[in-house]
Amino acid sequence: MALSHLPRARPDRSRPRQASRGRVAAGGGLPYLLVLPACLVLAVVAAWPLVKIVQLSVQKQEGGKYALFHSGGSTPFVGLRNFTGVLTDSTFWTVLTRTLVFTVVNVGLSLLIGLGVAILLNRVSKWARLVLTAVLLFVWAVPSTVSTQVFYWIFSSQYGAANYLLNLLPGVHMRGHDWFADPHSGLAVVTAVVIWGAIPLLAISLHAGITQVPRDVLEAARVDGAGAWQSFRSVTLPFLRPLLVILTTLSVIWDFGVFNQIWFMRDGHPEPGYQTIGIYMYSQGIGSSHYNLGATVGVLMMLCLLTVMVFYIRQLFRIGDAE
Amino acid sequence: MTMASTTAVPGLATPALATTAVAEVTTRRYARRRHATWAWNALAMLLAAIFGFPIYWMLITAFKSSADINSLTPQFWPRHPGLRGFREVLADPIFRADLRNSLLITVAAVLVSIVIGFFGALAIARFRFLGRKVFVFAVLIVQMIPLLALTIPMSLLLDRFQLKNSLTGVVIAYLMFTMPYTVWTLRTFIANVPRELDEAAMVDGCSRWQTFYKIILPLVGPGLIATAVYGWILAWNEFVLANTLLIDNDKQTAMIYLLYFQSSPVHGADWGGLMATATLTSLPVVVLFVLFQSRISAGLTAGAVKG
Repeated sequence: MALSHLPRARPDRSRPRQASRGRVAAGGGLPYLLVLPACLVLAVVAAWPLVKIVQLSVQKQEGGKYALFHSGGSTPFVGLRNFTGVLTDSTFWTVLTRTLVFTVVNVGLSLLIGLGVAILLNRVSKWARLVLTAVLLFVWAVPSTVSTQVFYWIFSSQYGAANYLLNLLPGVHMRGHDWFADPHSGLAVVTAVVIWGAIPLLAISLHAGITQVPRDVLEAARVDGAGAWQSFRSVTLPFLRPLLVILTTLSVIWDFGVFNQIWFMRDGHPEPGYQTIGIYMYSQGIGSSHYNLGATVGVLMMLCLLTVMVFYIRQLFRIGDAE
Repeated sequence: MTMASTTAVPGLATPALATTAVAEVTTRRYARRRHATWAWNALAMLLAAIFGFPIYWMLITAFKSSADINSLTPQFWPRHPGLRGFREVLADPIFRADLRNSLLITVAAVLVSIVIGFFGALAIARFRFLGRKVFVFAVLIVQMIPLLALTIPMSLLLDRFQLKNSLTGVVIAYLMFTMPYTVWTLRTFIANVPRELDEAAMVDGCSRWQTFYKIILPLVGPGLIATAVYGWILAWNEFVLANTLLIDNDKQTAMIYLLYFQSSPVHGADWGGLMATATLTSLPVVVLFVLFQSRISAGLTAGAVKG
């Protein structure tokens, strides 16, 4: 009986196992046909904009605000002048430092709390685990834009619930306190939103990771006299390492490029003290229509993240998942 | 105490105890653990309350009357519940238009990426071919690229084809993040279908295509749903690209409406209306999510553990 109605049927179809070790497995041109649409889409929506952003970053924008649209205005090649311009601007360095501090604080806190909740999920009774997981999944489903508006309302100065509740504590006077007058305390509220949204994914996947730690190894550690902390540090943590590397890199990428939470918290007009690199790029590029400068900052932003991505992809290839 | 035990049945972890001394120690340990479990449960409930509070606060604010919202002592239970906020927002034709736009964009982006992504995932999960690694690498890289950085070139490119300020343009732009995600996640689901099934089907006379849609497609069904729902969430929640590409009021998405709700002179400081809008905006995500909850959490952890 014919194995295939496709014209490219190969004799090695009957033993795809061995064939799959070779470079081209059964199917001939079929896999190429299958990836073709995806490749075309990637070329249009990713490769092209990537080429375009690099091109923009080495050009100078001349003419009016909308010069780059409708092919108006000239854009002469200026080499790396945009980059030297951005890199010698002290505002850029202030923004970058703020972004790095913000990223370290957010990633650190969300991983610590996430790991804590994951361990807790592993310890509690089944019903408690179900309740907490259900709440976390709901939290995870809430869009970051929505959660930011909700936190903005909770932390509003006059009728906000946060000031009211904090005011109940003895010796604390928070009535009418404006959280957003000082960018530092404003960014602390942003941090709360970011962490609140990040915990569900971190806690649930870390909990899944913890349940996969072999029980007999933990049992052996206990028999050998290891305490709770010791067996956690020398058994559970090494097992979680690959997962932790992946979650850390993902968190760094997300928190470094945080946008919605700050943008919504400041009603679409973040003051200079609230600008992280993503906001800075957007305000420069789209807000003030300095497309070439915005593209330059965008390229620098991607270069910063490239170092982190290398870790992530190397880890994926190491655990054999990308094979 | 081990980290892995929860409410282990006493005796299950350590069967056949030899000496009474060990038995006694163990019993004491379990007694202590039961005690501790009670405390951990209480802590878990406290955390659930803290994490759930913003959602609860959003909901009850949406149902409160204006007078109750603007009160110096917040009410933790709505005393005069009503639908004023919801009625006001739903009466706004711009909100309805924006909600419809969000729906159209999301459905289109998810459908296109599921169809194209399925074929791409099939190729990398089932075949070895020249350039496969390059493709996998490209998908991974694109998935990681900060979307935000590409808003500028994207908006220039779409403008060139008169696709700026059009829903089609936004759908194309959204493929930038829904496609790589779909390919990558579906690949995991397809790889979990044993190859032997394909082989058996082909021995029984199925063609390659028949194997795809008679064997792999039904088995990957749950995975397709999980992927589609998560893709839906990604596209529905997106804000930056839509905000950059769409200009007309009635051509924007629900997320943009949510941002401008407060700055619009009509709704200034209307917390009830804002929270009602926030609730309605997250509803399409939350409803889908509740319907497919078990599948998504499985997909979520599978995706996270396996990348």
